[in-house]
Amino acid sequence: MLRSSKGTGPAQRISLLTGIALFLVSTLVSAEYGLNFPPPVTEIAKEVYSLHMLIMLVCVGIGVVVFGAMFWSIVMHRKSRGHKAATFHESTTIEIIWTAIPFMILVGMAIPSTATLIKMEDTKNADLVIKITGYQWKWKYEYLEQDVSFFSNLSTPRDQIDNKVAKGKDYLLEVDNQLLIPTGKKVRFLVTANDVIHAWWVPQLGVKKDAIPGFINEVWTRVDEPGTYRGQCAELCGKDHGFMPIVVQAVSEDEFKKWISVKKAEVVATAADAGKSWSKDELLQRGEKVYQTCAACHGATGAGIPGVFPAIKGSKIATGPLGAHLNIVMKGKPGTAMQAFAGQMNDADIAAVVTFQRNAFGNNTGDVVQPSAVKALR
Amino acid sequence: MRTTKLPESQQRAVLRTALWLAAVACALFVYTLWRGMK
Amino acid sequence: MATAHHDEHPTGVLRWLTTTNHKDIGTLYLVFALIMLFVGGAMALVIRAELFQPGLQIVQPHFFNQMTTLHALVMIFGAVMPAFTGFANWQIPLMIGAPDMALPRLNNWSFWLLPFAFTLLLSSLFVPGGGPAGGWTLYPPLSVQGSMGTDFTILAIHMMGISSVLGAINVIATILNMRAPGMVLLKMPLFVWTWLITAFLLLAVMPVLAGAVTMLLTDRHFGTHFFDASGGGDPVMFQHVFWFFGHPEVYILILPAFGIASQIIPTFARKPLFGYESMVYATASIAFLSFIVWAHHMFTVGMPLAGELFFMYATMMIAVPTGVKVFNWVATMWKGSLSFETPMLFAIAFVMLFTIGGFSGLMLAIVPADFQYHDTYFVVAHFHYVLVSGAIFAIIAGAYYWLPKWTGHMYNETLGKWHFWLSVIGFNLTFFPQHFLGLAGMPRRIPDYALQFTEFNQWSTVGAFMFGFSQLLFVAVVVKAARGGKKAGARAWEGAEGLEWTVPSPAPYHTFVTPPHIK
Repeated sequence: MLRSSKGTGPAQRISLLTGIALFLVSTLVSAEYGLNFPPPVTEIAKEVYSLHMLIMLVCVGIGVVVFGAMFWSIVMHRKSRGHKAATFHESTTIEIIWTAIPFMILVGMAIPSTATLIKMEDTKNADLVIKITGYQWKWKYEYLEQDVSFFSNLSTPRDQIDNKVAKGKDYLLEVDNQLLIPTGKKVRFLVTANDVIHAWWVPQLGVKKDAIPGFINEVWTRVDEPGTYRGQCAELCGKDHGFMPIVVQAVSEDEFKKWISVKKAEVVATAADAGKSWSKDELLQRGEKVYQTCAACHGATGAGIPGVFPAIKGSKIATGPLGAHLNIVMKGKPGTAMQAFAGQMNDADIAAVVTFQRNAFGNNTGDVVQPSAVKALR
Repeated sequence: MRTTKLPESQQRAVLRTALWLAAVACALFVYTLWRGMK
Repeated sequence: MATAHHDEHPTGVLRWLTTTNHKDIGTLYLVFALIMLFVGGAMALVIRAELFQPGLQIVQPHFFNQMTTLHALVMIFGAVMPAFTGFANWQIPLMIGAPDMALPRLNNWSFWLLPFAFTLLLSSLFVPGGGPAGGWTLYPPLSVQGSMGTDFTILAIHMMGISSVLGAINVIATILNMRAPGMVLLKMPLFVWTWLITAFLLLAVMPVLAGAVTMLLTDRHFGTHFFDASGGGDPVMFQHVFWFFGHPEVYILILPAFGIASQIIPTFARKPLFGYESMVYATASIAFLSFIVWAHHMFTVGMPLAGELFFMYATMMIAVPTGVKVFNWVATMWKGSLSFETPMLFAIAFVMLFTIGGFSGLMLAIVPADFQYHDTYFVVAHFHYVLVSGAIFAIIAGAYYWLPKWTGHMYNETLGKWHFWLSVIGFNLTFFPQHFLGLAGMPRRIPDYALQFTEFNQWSTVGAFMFGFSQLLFVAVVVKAARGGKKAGARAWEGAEGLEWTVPSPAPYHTFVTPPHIK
């Protein structure tokens, strides 16, 4: 009954709709429009992408059939069109059919999903092990066999977040110290946390794992293509949950080895800092920079957030006995967001920031803390 | 159907129990908040 | 035997405070739910306003987190659940030929607990430290860090839980004991069936939530370490206990919607519900399966492979009875004689859009893929499709459907249709782009985002304001219908079947004082 010579007949309409549908489906595949996963760079991520497309297309297919039937009914079975209601209201046969067919479709989906999951959970025989620890609100990376460790903080300037200056290209997805890994090697991550639950997620690697304090999770990856891959924390962890991104750089094995030696040299340099004697000005200058970490909770002007985070300005701890001040900075306050910074900062940084807090915001105690004093307390 | 009226004494008993429960709940709550502020 | 005279009942404020009448209590629940819908909606608009552009423009992150947390708590416990309970109160006695609920005095307290619970919950915004900000899921250790507002929330949750449990007991006692002679279980309207099953789910899981939040409370203030690894506890155990409640809870939030759709579609198709017995068994299967899938909310915590596989397979299984229900609704429409008054429009939209939510749910069940979707806007899109265009559209559909019975007046059909189209367009504009945001890599519960997510966030915000403000039309429709309009007959809709359509509109204060006989 399809007369294709007529310009707006059923055949033309069907072809037009098919064309539009195909176009829409093709845009779904394109990551540039932000409609789909960013390009996968590991074997696993590629498998996950294929699985995702398969399931989605099956769903679209079922949707076309079901919604198609509904639309047909809405148009053709209207009372206003004169359609009289049938009276049928049950059929055991059809109930069995439309139970069995979906069941079989599900089994078909479960098989490749199971295969991929088994591969993802096999963390054995890694070439490199990195321990990842989530903190409020930054990541710590430790190359256990190479004895290199560092913190990775958001490096987007506060001014950009507060809309005072234009936002950079990698707004909220840039850090001060990136995680470097060699391409073509199986890297095993040991994921944990220091305070609350976080989650380490890099979409292009296909990796997401919760970082749980007191427990260690394992996940692995092998990146084939060199490049920079960005991710974010994926478990609500407090006020700066949206501000602790992850940046992984995959480089050749040679470049990786060179970078490790550079990092090792930095460790030696930091230890040397602790030995010398610092002037008050040097401490204040450094302390102001380190204070950025504290400002996240205690505020840029030391005012804190009443009821949530205490103020440093005029605080009994920052103007009272030095011992108590150092104690709370180094050992933290359990049950709160105040962390034990002894494990996170070196002697020079702690000495500097405590000196800064005791002299800034009108506190003016005149106290000066040397890194060696901090070292003695460890 | 009109809900049957309870005898006065039973009405008072129910209300008394409810008020006691509410008082205990409030006390527990205030105590919890106080511990939170310690 | 029936009393020959009507006893006095109080008027004014005292009437509403002391009523034991199921119709009054139904109205109280529905009005309360409508108010809470706007409270939760306002919070959603704060969230969407902040997310209109990258950068922090309107609120600070700590307050933003309070908004996301409270938005969910208010919508789940203050809007959807009380709305369904309001329907249960109004409709169950009318549908089974009973004069009232089994426990009318308990019914009154079940309702009146709620305004107190929500006053407590909302007042948390004004105490030092503000309201709860760890997400409605309250995961420790983050929620252990929370200030006073979290304690307020925990007590409020206890009160809401007690209200739900008492209501569930009432529903079960009523349905099992007070059906009119001749109304065997397999002759009950499907709405009554879905509420019977929902009530059992509530009884089973609300105490579990109470246990979870109490352990949180003692970890916070009474020196326990249930969820603290350094004390020998486990934060993940909270997640297991919470989601053991949480998964059946989402079925509590949708089963009555299935029941409402099953009443409306046959009416406007002028054809009986297709596969009544299948529908009952499918609902029961869904309820049973809902107890063995909870860990699909936790696929990234680091479960053993066997656990991940079990929960993946069990979760995928739920698609089968759910699909059966969708097919049965379509088969009810098929070859019917369809008309498209507002209740039917919302019911059809419910079937289509809930199904889309079901598809994203199936995608989420696939563990390797879920590792990419988990805690992103893909999940947010999924649950808003099932909860807003699912539960809430069904509630709205039911309200339009039964308003003539409750008020005695036909509502304004033109306004209803405007409300429908603005809602459908606004809703889809808000939430469809969120699927893409999740796939492109935007996490949940963040107040600010990387530049590539800007465009879809802007669409979503525009849609949210459109959808939100359209609901004011609904309020106008309801208020106008309460006050006047074309008189509605007993059988307000031509194709409507069921005992509620045999009593006058508006339904008299006391109905079925003598039980009818069912053939």
